[in-house]
Amino acid sequence: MGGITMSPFGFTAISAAWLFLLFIPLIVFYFLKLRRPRVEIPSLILWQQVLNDNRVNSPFQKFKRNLLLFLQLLLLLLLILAAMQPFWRSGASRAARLPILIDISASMAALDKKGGISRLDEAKKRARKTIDNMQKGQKISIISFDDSARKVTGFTDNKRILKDALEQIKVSDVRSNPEDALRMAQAISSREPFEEVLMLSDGNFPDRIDFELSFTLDYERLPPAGANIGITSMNARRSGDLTWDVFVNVEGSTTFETQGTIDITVGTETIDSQIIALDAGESDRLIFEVEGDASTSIKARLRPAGFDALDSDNDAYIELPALRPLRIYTAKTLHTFHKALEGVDGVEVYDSMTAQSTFDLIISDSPADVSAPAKAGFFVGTLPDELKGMVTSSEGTSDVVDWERNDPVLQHVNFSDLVIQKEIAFAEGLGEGDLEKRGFETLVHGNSGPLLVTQTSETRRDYFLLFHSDSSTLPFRIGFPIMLSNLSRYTYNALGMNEINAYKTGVLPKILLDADTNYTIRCPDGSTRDAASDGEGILSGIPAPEVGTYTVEKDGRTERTLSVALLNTEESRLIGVEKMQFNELSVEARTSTQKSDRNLWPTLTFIALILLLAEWALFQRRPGGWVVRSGANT
Amino acid sequence: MNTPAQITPLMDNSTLHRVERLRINCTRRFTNRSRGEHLAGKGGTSTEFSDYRDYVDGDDVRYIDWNIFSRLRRPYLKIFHQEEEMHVVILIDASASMDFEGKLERAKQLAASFGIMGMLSLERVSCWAFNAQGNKLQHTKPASGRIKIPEMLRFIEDIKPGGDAPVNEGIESLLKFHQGRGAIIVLSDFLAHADLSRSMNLLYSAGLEMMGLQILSPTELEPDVTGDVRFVDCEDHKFLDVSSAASLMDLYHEYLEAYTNQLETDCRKRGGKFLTANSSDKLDDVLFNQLRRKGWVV
Repeated sequence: MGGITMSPFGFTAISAAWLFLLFIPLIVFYFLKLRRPRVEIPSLILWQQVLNDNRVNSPFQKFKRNLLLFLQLLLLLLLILAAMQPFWRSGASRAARLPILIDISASMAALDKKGGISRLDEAKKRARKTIDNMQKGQKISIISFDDSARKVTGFTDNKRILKDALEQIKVSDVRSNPEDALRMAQAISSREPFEEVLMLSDGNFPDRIDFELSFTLDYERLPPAGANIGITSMNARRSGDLTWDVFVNVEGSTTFETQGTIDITVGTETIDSQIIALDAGESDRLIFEVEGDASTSIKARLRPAGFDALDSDNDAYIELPALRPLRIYTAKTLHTFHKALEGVDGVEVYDSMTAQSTFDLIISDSPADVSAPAKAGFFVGTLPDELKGMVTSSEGTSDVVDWERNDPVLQHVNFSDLVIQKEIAFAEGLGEGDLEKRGFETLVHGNSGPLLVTQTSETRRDYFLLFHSDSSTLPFRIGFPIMLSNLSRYTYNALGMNEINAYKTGVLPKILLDADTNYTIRCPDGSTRDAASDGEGILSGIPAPEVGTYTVEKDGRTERTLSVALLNTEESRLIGVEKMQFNELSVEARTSTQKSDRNLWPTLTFIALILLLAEWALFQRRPGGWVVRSGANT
Repeated sequence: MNTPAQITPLMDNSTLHRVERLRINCTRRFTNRSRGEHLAGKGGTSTEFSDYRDYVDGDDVRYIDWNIFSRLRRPYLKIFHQEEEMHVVILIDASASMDFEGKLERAKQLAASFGIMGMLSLERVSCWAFNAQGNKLQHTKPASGRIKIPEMLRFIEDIKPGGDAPVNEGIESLLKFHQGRGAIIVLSDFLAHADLSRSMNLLYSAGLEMMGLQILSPTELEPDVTGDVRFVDCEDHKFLDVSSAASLMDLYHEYLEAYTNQLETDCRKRGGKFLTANSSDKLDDVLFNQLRRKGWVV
């Protein structure tokens, strides 16, 4: 039994074939109505001789005599075929609905060569081709994505809408992650089912995607961009009492040697410049030392030597706060804590609440101190008000079962064999889940209940040791001073005085401002957007799609400025992912243009037009001359 | 001062005056015995000395040069140019095919010019015109001298176009009536289906030097036709369908050149002349440049 062989051609409007009947009247009219223009001439003698010539009577010349008929038949044939809307089968399936995911991350702005086109322009060109080749009944939806996804158009067969939407898409200086776009496509498929998704991207995103594919993903990887060098990370670390070490990581393309110069500017003054030359795929880390006695804005500007595919990764910014000793309050009853902290570098320990206006860290066994303002708190033998009735403390003993070794305060701290002369237990019927509902996390688990819990808010983090240190062997353990050292370091970090990372594009970091206040955010391109702080004065969720400085204004007055940069290795190194690894399967990249059925009617119509013009030029010109005149020149 | 009246509508007076100073230059000298201004090749009776020869018995002693005889004691006879009368026949094709783009007008202008040249050279000039087959040829009686010029001009001016007579029939009809040797100037487009060599032979036999002046219109020389056309013969109204006429133009030119070359060869073989003229060319250019260069007039 033979299989069915599919013709390479297909017709969308096969019903238009009845137009072939027009051949009959065309031929009939040609022979019946052929009316040659009459031209009166003095004598036929010469023309008769011409027509009797063998050369005129050759088969080709006979064909030329009826060329008009042949041209008209050919013209009609082309027009009928165009009306039948033929298409060339590509072999690819003709999806009724096709979502196109277009990567608009920062690397899509990369050029292939000097004066060349960007990856996004290439993606648009391919998307336009797919739109042009849409067949009747097909619908396309366009979704753009960087690290989040936006639906540009719903499913439509209106090519104008699709192309207009395509033109509106522009690059954002944000890293790429197709996960959000795939989830959006999946959500759309629940309402408007489809089987295939086309993704146009340069492949500069993580190769592992945490997503369960429920459709066929056609990952079309765009041609790679040219050479690029960019700043991929910038951070600062306190190196002494009043000194910052600023680290700038520069990476180049994986296939090109690159070089450039890094300028470090503090305010308006360039404090250092270093030349970088990178082999293909190499990176370099530059270190600059900056005084930390006052808050400082630092800008790193990379000046590439030669062609640089991507501009948006050449700038990075970091805001450094003024360095100072950490101010810690310890209650007088917690003498062991006081003594242990005195040995830690860079801290000032006070045992009086009035010694400083505010403290960075409060260590107390008094419930009254819980509400004192600080960046962090460590409360000993204190049960938070929210947990009263949920956790009980009674006579007895407790054993440490486990603890969260990854918590910044408990790193390198061993609670094994800790003796606790109190029995800390959950109230009957309650467990850790109930604590979590109240916003607490258990860090040290006892045999009957939590021994150390923590509560984290936007502005501070508090630790509650549910037993008093005096009733345990904790102060005598090696881990005790380590834990306090960790606590002071954590507070330093929380204050941003230990290590600072440059802000990245995407979303602005949370900003602490006045509570419930409206602000205006001025973007690098001059546009503005309105935002309001919450009850705690936190302004969050402000999109930052462009590299540059964002200004937070209130009533026309600048409140804060924040500068963000791309700082992403994938985007700068322009490594195209060959294979996307999903949870259960992988998708190979396709570098060739997507196969799609190609509409032939525009070509046929164009040929018909050319044919019409040729016919007009050849046959429709009226014969000139041969006018009877009586006058003669004298 | 009054402007002189136009002598003929065929050409302006200045051209006419220039024509009066020209003479027809025949290659052969078919002439009449009667005395005229046309120089015959043999010794004649004009006053212009030509040569000496020995006296032989029977010669007229009046022509012996007595001065030489007195010096040499031998008789020598003086020979003079004999100015003989030449018959100039002007045949105008007035068939319908000449009624295109001023061909007949040009033929009439040239006929008048040749007629004037002949008459002022004291040749016997007669003008003939033919148009329709079977019609009797219109003509003027052979005449010479300035006094006969107006009559000849009126005749030429009154020639009307129309008819289907081919040029060979016109020639043969003429020979039935004409007597006298000399030259015949045929003004026609020579576009005839018949073989013209027979007519030329008859002319040669009759002692008339054939001077064929073919007058073609610009669109006969360079047709501007394209596409499918139906050519209709203006004389017999037969038609010919031609497709892709533009592509045949090279062949047309080839055949036109071959046709005129054949006519010219036929004329030359019989001691005559042949020239093709474009009806759109200026009359002065044809008369004083083309005809002069080709040795038709001196």
